[in-house]
Amino acid sequence: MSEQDILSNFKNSMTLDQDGEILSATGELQNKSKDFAKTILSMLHDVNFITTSSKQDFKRMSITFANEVYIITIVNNKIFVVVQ
Amino acid sequence: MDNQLLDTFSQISSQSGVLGFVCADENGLCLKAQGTCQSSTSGSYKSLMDKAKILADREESPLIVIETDTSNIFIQNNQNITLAVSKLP
Repeated sequence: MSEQDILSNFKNSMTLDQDGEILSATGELQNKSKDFAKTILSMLHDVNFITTSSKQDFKRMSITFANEVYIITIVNNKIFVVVQ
Repeated sequence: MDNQLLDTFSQISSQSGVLGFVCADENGLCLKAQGTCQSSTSGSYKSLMDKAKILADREESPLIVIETDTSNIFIQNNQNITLAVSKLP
């Protein structure tokens, strides 16, 4: 399955490169500014510090609010964000 | 340190599957770190939580879960304390 096929299952998604540049965005994430992408990148730097200090490999981060969940993962040097 | 806090910490570490935990105060300074979690990461957990609120433009504190190859780290906070617990997947 290609990236596009997998992402099409999610109504709201965003793809970033390693520098935080927005490669694609669908649904509600289309309206997000560069600050959104920068915050995601900044959070992943924090996660990197946490996982590196305990010598673990990062797989996925989920941020659960009352009525939405942000799921962030990194594949092939690209950052994928989906909101459900 | 507060007895209530110490009791809670021993309760956490006695749960099965818990590898470690870190507790940070409102400034991100480490109150307690145990097991596989290091005190140097306390600021990072607090920072993660603050950024998550900015990301979603909300006041409420989310539950953040970081999944790694060897553990799942659950992070929650209130106004005063941020707690990260590392558990076996």
